[in-house]
Parts: sequence; C-alpha cells; structure tokens
Amino acid sequence: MPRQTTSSFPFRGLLGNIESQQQDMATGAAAIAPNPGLSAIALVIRSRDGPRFVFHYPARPSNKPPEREPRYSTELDTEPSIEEDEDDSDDSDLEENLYSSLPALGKLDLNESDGRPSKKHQKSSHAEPPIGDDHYDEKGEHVVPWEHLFEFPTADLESILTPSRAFHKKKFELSLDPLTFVTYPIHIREDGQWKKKKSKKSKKVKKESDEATGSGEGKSEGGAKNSSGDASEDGDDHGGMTMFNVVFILNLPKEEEDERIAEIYEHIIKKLNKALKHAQASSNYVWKESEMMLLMKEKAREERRPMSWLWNEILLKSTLAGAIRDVFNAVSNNDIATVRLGASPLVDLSLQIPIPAYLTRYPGSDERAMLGLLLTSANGLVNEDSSEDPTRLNKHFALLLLDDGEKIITEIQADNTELTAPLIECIRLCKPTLSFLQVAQTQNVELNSLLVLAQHLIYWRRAMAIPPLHAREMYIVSPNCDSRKLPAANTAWKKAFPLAPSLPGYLAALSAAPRPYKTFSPSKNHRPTYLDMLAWAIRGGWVTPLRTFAWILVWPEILYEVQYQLKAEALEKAKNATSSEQTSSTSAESTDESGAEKKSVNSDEPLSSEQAAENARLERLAMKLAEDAAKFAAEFEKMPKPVATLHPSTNSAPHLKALSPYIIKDPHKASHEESLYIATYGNRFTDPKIKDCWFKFCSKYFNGKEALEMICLQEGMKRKETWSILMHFQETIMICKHW
Amino acid sequence: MKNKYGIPKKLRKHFCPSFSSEEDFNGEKKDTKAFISTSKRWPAGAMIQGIFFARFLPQKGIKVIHQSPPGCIVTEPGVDKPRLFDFETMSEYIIPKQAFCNRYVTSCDPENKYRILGHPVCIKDEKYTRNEFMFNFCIVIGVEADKIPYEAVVRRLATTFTEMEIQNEFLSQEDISNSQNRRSIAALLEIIKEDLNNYNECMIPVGTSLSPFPKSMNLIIADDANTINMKLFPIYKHPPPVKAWHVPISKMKFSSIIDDTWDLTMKKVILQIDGIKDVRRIAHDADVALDLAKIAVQHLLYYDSIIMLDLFLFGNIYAPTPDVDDFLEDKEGMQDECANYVYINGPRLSNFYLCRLFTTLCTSRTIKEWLKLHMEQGFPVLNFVDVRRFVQFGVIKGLIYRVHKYAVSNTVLNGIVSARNVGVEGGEQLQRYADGCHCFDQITVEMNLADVKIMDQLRRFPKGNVEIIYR
Repeated sequence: MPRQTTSSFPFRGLLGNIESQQQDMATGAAAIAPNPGLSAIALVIRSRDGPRFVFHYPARPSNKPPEREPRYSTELDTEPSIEEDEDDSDDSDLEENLYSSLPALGKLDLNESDGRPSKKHQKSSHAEPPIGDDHYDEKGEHVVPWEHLFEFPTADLESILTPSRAFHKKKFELSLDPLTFVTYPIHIREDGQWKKKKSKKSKKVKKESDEATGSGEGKSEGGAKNSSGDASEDGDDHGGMTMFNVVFILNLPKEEEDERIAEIYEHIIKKLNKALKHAQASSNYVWKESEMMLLMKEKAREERRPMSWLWNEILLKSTLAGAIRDVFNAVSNNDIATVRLGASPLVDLSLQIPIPAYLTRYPGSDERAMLGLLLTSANGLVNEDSSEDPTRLNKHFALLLLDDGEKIITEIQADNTELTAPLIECIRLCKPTLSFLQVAQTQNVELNSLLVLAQHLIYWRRAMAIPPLHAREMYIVSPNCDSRKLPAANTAWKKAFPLAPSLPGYLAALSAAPRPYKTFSPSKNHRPTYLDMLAWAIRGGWVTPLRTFAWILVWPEILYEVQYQLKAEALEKAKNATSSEQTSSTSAESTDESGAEKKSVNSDEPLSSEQAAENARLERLAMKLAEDAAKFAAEFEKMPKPVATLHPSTNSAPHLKALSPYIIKDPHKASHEESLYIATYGNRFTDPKIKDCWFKFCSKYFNGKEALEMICLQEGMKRKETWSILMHFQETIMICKHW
Repeated sequence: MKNKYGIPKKLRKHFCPSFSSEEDFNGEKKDTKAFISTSKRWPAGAMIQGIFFARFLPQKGIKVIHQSPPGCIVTEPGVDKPRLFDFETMSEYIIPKQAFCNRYVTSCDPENKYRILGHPVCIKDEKYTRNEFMFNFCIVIGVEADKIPYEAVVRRLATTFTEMEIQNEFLSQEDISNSQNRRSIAALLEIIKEDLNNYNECMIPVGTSLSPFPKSMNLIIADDANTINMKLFPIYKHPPPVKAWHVPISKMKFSSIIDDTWDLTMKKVILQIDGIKDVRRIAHDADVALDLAKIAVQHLLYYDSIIMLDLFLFGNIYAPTPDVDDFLEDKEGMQDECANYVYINGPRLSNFYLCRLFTTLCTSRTIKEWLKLHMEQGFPVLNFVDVRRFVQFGVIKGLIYRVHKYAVSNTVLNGIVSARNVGVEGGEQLQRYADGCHCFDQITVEMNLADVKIMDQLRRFPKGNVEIIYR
C-alpha cells in the first residue's frame, strides 16, 4: 500500500504498523474494552452492470461469534471446568429449548439442496459455510473461492446489499441470523453528480474541508490538485456507478447488539462512507478503485489464481482495499484506525470507537469484567460548575501519560507535523503532580492551548486526565486492578524502580490501611521517586485515589435552635398581625376572603340569613385562630431556650432527645430551613476567615459529589491550610471516603 | 439449559414471571423482595405495531396478502391511515433471494423507526409454479422496542405455517379452499397481534374447523403444528458463573411453586438455600455433587429467582462506592427501604443512623472493627440493626462493595514469569492460591480453612515472601 511520507497526524507511523500495534494491545484500555464483534467489511457498488460485490476483508472471515470476557464484575479467577465447556452449549441449549416447540426448519428438509447434515443443523442455528469455500480453486466443478462470503453467494449478497435510494445517507441494518449487515449507503445525486456543483473553486475547497472535518478527524490535503477532481465531474468515467457502500458485517451477542451497532455506526461506518463519498466526488476514487479490483478478480478467475494470492495483489495495488483492511484490523482490536484514501486530493481520516480511560462505577455482578481499567469517580471532563463537557478538560486536573514520556515523544517526532513541537512541549511541561492551571501559570503558557494539546493526547490514547497527585492525599489499591498481570507488572516495576519494594509489597502496604501517601515514603528525599511510582501504578490501573466527600450534618441542637427561632418569628408576626387587625378588622377580613365573593355579595343583595351564617362562620374562624395563637404562645413559653454548646454533637439535653440529626442533601438548593441551619453553624465560627470558608465551601463542596481534595486547587489555596480549615468543620460535616 | 442433568423443562415454566402469580413473590422473604426488584427484561404491552403475511406471487412479485391493522403495510380501500413504511422499499428484505430464506431475517426501514422481524420460508416442490413457494409472516415493532422476545414468535409462525403448507397446502390453496373449514389467515393475524400485545401469549388452533371435517380434511392431524401456541418469553442474559464460595439468597418463596415433577437435585438444592450457606456448603448439606449444585444455582440465577452475594463474616471488609451518595440523597426512597429491612433487632431508629453506618465503612475496617467504632461512639449497632441484612442491602444496591483479601507470594510470581513450577518451602498447601488471583473466600471454602488458619499457614512461607493485598 503506497503511503505518503508526510502526514498531519501524529502516531500515524506507529498505528499504521499492525505488528507493533498488536504488541501495544496487551496493556492498553483497548485490550479491556469488549470485542466489537466485527466479522468482515465488504465494498458493494451498483454500476452500469448492476450491483457488484467488489471486495471484502478478511478473505475468509470467521463465522464464530467473538470471544467474550468470561469474567464478571471484578472477579479474577475463572473456573474453566464450568465455564468454557458450558458457556457455549448453555446458550445454544437454551435457544434449543426455547424454540424446542419449533424443531428447526431443517427438520422439514427445506434445504435439501444444501446437503447439510441435519444433526448439525438441529444443534445450532448457525449454518455452516459451503465446503467449497475452503478450497482455493476448482474441485470437480469450478468454484470461485471469493464468490462466497460466509454461506452466501456474493451474487446474492451484492443485490441485497445495494439498498435503494430511500436509504441514501441513512442507516441500513439487515440481519441474516446470526450476522448483521450495517451500512450507510451513498447514492449519486439525481443530477448525476456526486456532489453539488459549485461555481467557484474557492468555495469548493472550503466545502471539502468542511466535509472532511465533519467526518471525524479527516482532512483533505493538496487542494492544489483540484484539476484531477474536476475531470471526474464530467461524469463520463463513473462506469455508471450510481451507488456504493462499505458494509460492516457484525456478529454480536443478542443482548448487546443494539448498543454496539449504534456505536460502530456512529463512529466508524457513517464516517468512513462519508469520507469515501468525498473522495468519490473529488476524484472518482471509489469507482476507479472498484473497477481495478473487479478487473483483477476477473483476471484471477480466468487464471484460476488462489484466493490468498489475489487478495495479496489487491491489497498491494488498491489503497481502498488497504484502507478497508486497516479499518477492519483497528476496529477488531479496539484501536484507532488511521486511514489514507489514495484519492486526489488525499483524504486522511482517523476512526475509533471511543473507549473509556477509566470506570466511574463499580461493575455489577452481572456485568462483564473490564479488569485493569482504573476505577475512579474523578472525571476530568466534569468542570468546576459540575457540568460535563466532552470538549473541555477541567483545568484543575493533571495529565498522566499512559506510556513512557520519551517513548511517546519519539513516536510524535517520527510524524513530523505542525503539531509535533507543541505536543512535545506539552508532554515535557505537564506533570501528573501539577494541574493544567498550575502548569500554565508557572511555565507561562496559554492555558487553553495547553488544554487542547492535552485533549489531543487523550484522544490518541496517550494520556489521561487525573486529579493531580500529591503526597498528602491517600491512595488505595483499585478494586478493579488486574492481578493476573501481577507477575509481568512486577518485573516491569523492578526495572523501573530497582530500589523500591516489590510491587506486591507496595500494593500490600497501600491497601492495608489508607494513609496519606507521604507516610509510605521512607524519607523526604524519596518522595519524588515515590510519586513516580504512584503515577506508574495509577497508569496501570493498580492504584486509585481515595477521595473524601462531605455532607452537612445538622445536629439536634441546631435543629432545635432554628425551630425555636422560627417559632419566635411566627409568634412575633402573629402579634403584629393581630394588632394591625384590630385597627382595621374589616379590611383584614376582606383579604382573608376572596374579593370576588365579597363583591358578588354586595351587588346581588343575597338573603340575609345566608349573610348571617357567613358572618358567624368567619367569627368562629377568627376565634379559633386566636385560640390557636394563644395555645401556640403558651407552648412556646414552655419550650426551653436553645443553648449553644461547644460540641453540638454531644449535647444530650432532654429536649433534644426527640430530634435526630439531619443531613442536607444538596446545599446548593437548600430550603429556607436548611439555609438557616447553615447560617446557624456559620454564626458560631468566631474566626472570620473560617466563617467565610464555611459559607464558601458549603454549597460548593459539601454535597457528596465534589471531592474535598479539589478545594485547594479550585479555590487557589494551600493544601495544608485547606485541611486545617476543614478540621474546624469536623463536627458539622459527615465524611465518606471512596474512590 | 442443562438437560443432560435432568432438570425438567417444567422448572423453566414455573420460574417464568408471567406464569407465576403475584403470590409467588409474597412469601416469607417479603421484605427481601421489597428491594430486590424482579424487573428483568420483559416486553411492555402493545409492542407489535403491525403483523402481515407476504407471499411471492410468480406473476405479481412480492405481495402483502393479509395485514393487521388494516392499511399498516400496504394501502387498503377505505383505510386512510398512513402506512408504517414504504413496502416497496422493504420488500426485497421481506422475501429475499432464496439464499437468504429459511432463516431469521430482520431489517429496519429507512427512517429507522420500525423493525421488521421475519423468517422468510422457501418450500421447494415441483407442484408449485417455478417449483417453489415463498412466504413470510412478519412482525413490525418500533426500533427502540426490545426485539429479542419476538424472535421465538416469528420462528414459530414460520414453522407452523410451513408445516401446514406441507400438510395440506394451507397457504398456497388459501383462495381456492377458503371455506368454513378453517379460519382465515387474516383473522389469525389479528388474533395473534391482539393476544400477544394484550396478554403476551396466544393459543389458537388453526387447522381444525368448528364444523365436522369433510372426509378429505381427516388427513389433518390436529397436532402441535396446527395449533399456534405462542408466548413472549423474556430472554435473560446468561448468568455469571456460580462460584462455590458465593451465597445464594432467594427472591421468592420456592415452597409454593415447587412440585413433584421438579428435578431431584434442584429440589434438594433449593431446600438448602437460606441466604447464609455458600454453594459448597449447600452441595454438601444437600448431598449433591458440587458441579450439579452449581448448575442448579445458575439455573435459578438465570430466572432471577436468587441473588448471589459474598460470604458474610464479621471479619469481612466492605467499602463505599460513589453510589453511596444515592443513599444519602435518598434516591428511590432507598432509606426507608433499607430501614424496613435492617431495623429488626429493636426499635426503629432514624434513617440518619443508616447513612452514618454506610459512610463509616472503609477499606481497612472489618465489620467487627466498624461495630466497635460505633459502640465507642455510643451507638450499639447490634441492638437495632441486623448487620448481615444491612451489608446485603448495601451490596445489592451497589452502595458498598466487598474488599477481598488476596495472598501474593513473590516466589509464585517469579515462577509464573519464568514459567517454571517452583515449590515454596512451607507453602505446599496454599501455594496455588498465592498468585493474587484467589480471594480468601475461595481458600476458605475450598480448603475448609478459616481466615486465621489461612494466615497461620501463610506464615509458614519464607519471611517476606507473602504479601496480603486488600482489593
């Protein structure tokens, strides 16, 4: 596959190389993400000669459903005896029973022509591919090996996989049990063009780049080569191609089918087909490549060439075939596909199904395990105002490289682009111990560009955002760490930190009891190394920050004080009201009763008896009110006066017995009473600074969602100072520590 | 699922929620049920938007013969409703080429609003024009609807009508012999749609007639194939494997649904499920082989009639997950649910104490230490709270998780790296568990050793060789 040397994409060289890619796989999050279940990719077009099945990859796709993670939740062990034997047979057994009332159509011998063994057919609903598929060439009769894909003749597939215009730029999904075919068909415009004709060239170039950016990370290069693009717009050399689509053939477990199809459709299928449309429009790319592949196939058919030979030839000659192969390999490995379509101008695009860099929830017992993925509630895409924005990193987070910094730098240097220098700068400046804001301030660089570069590294799975590491914070062994990797990781650890304790020893110490991290380091001089060790362990998903969360806890003493206060106020109000009522009793009455009613009473001159009854009712009401008020006042008199003690939590005064402590759920949306509780606490702090902080922290941090560790960063305070202030609130907040 | 072990199919029927009446869930474990929801995948009513019967007619091509509701697929005189989708666009996928027939085929309309579930059938016989007869009974559901339960229905329709076509040309001779002898296909479709939408099941004899059979019809055997018995089964996910050291907790009263036809092993196992015994213990007490017990338990798990938890001991450690915030916020009335379940040892306290109990759990505190902590603070937890239930509640709701203990021997790790079998001096018994992948629960159950005994044995390893990781 011919490839240009220059590229606007970092890591291209590396990612394009499949071998090295697979080696990398072993450690990355990609290895943990569930198998995307991609069986094959096919290119199908409709040309002058009708629908044509152009190419598919791999040449002989596996019919087997993808292997699945046999573990669940955070389990480490597997019991092979039960698992591997049973799992499959269980499923088919289950199906068989469910459909046992319908003993498969095979029983009816509808498929006599296939000559399938009926036993086999009963056992599994998956049909076997025709035997001829496994042979390169003729066997008695001439069977062309590439004219079958799975058990289907490509002659039949090509017609069913060229959906009508109704599906133009729409999702096409067809399942032929057990396979699902998903695509995004592209038809030629009604006017016979692949895109709207633009009068001005400049406009056209703009449109192109717009479209390219729309399709993922695509970019069009060499806009100067437009002349060749124009030639294709004559429309004569299309070969009468009216539609094309790259079809993705998936084999997924039923219960996750919809979700996974939606993912691959949005992130891969749509973008790839859009990019191809762009290439077709600019330089007739899809047709040229298709024509070439079809000719090669025809020739090989005549020459009775083996399929492997032909496929090698096609992959060598056609950049489109190469692109399909690259996409297949990358998607199958959950990797990022970087594809260059050999159209002119060249179309570069990168495709990936995003995979999370960490888990935010503890995996449930019925969820497939994603062992080794870091488990943390700290999400770098949630900003200070607790809104999640996938395009903006929290500036108080830090960048943790997922590989050795120097190694990443070499990779970036290998792809010399305009971004290379800034990216290297970013890698050199960012430390896992410094927030982006701190880096920007100390190094005098622009924060926004720093965030953009960091985002770039995260997108390319070279880094992740974490709360900055600090020796005062606590770290624990992640409940999701993959101990099966312990032997290999231990060796790597020894190499990286020859003088440190062994990895199991280190993890054991961390996990025994959560303590501030600095206490593990033998001396202050060791701290930098210990922080490096920590970064290493977090990168591998071994260790996760233990974060502190708080809620405001209102003790009975405070509850009572506020209650008392409110009652006193109510009493005061009532007193004022009655005194004003006496001066203008009628007006007070009129406000009590609805004005409209009063009016109607006056105008219509109702029966006097009715009026009398009404008056009597009002009188009774007034008396009742007065009685209640008196009772209320008397009761209030009896209530003991609230006394503010130094430690409200231990106040065991008898009048507080009936009250139980109260937790404010969301101080940001505090009710009137809740804000009084907060105020009462606040007024008890004598130190103005602490009082200040109390009110400042309350609504922002004491909500159970914001980690107290972030306060110092977000408020620009010293860590030590923050914690010493927080110590003053010890009695007024309830604390919980979790990852 | 495990017919080779003789677990009757009947069992499945019993555990299917639609069969079991509400009483099944209101047994003695009533309060357990309060928070263990049985809401597994189940089709919510009226999911079928349309049902139709299409045929390939040699002269006219692919045609819809019958449909319900009228006009949903192709226009009908007198019906003014918009069609669900354009049939001509989709017909190619409803009766596809022969190569794609006789399998379950689904497709979505271009607007991506509806999904057509069908099982195109092609019967080859010289008696037909072009030597083949092609038809498809299709169900249309919304794209968002759960399609899984309908697969069995569609397959069933295909087999039933295939059988009937082969027996007496029920479909191909429809126009000719559409006499009083049998129900019309149109009426059948209507009934199937209505019954499945309203009752999730239907049972319709199709081959038999109300009036006495004419002589020629006596050939029809009124067997299973001429009766449409269909039911929407919720298809559950395959359950996670059962570990010997897990503890099943029942979600329903088994005694009320168990009967003589049940598998013996299953009956024995069920008797032992008390929410305390681990699977190995159940197998032992039930006098059943462990493998069979595991299979039986997995079977119960599949039908969501039990929940698997870890072995509860006071030496266990549990730690909060971020979801503990949901409890503090009292989402879904969780606090009262929990209070009802755990305050059984004494007077009911305020929910505040539950919050406090959850938030004070942490990665380095055993339940024993945690209880002690609260005692010291003047809260005798055990006087009010059933701690086992408290932990159960937290684990099931995902508020807390069990922190397991693992032993790692450096020698064992090095052995794995060098791919050599190294014997550890003094560690003969536990060596195979000392790779960091086997939790103490497993060792406890498999080796019949208590935590203290395991630690004793691990001390026999060379000094500094073994580390304990809490994870």
